[in-house]
Amino acid sequence: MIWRENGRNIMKARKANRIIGLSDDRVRPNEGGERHDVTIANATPDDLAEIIDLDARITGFARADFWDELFRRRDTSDTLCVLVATGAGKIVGYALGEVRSWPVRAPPCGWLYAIGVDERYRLQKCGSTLMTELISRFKQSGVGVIRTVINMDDHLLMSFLRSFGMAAGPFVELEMNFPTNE
Amino acid sequence: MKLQQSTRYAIAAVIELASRPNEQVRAQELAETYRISQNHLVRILYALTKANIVSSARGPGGGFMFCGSAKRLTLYDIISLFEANWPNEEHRNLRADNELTQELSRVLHEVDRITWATLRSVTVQTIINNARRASATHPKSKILSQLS
Repeated sequence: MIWRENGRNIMKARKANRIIGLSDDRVRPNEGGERHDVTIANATPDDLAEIIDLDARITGFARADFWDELFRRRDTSDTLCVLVATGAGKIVGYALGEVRSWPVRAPPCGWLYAIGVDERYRLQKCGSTLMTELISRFKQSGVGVIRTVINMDDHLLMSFLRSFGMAAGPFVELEMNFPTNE
Repeated sequence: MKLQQSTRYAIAAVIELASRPNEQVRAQELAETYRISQNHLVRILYALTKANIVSSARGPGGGFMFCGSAKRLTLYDIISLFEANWPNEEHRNLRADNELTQELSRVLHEVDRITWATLRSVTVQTIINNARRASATHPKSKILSQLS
């Protein structure tokens, strides 16, 4: 929380959780919460419904078609990786990535498509473990670069990825709106 | 991006102190490390103390110590503490009364958005960790031998 005093911005510690200088959108629900054990494994077809549900809760929008298509494609792909973190018999996190080339002049690299962790399991290295495992899979596939595209306003996810050492690369996403023919 | 000298010193001081947790560091040592005016630095450190980012202790063995959350405190937080009227969008001063100035304003806003997003996502701990990773990958001696 930031407020002004004598013409200057002074940060005020959030008394409730003793977080200093933390914008509201970066408050983490499990701050100081209990710890849970999680295990990381490849997702199975039985996990699909739980992943879709968890992804919808984290991102705020359901995308069953997206996950259905990925699981179908995974059956014939050696480079598509869907990892899940399981805690107390439930799926509490997921990471999705693939080694592929890109329609720009760059060699194949590991793409991080999605990563998410249940709010109650954050700050327990669950996301870090998923990310580390995904990078390990990419290494095994012979690539040495991981890339992703994320929403610029998703500060929490961007902070997480930067904590791994990720930074702006040589490409930038550009887009444009145009009228459709409908 | 143009930052005031105080802001740059504040960032450097916070990162240095955060990299040495539970250690009281004297202002004189920090000033010598970064070759800056001790008086100026002390004023900055007291501003950081007021913001609960740094604590101070007087007397022998005293000094300044990081007391914030390095995993949460971002560059954006530190900069907004020291830069008056920041973040400001200077292009808003442009009179957007024609298409050209409107387009120029849009481009400058795009640059600002990228800058803010970057600063908001870089925590003090991330800087420390990345520096340590870089140091482990390219030890100083190795870099020096490459330069010589």
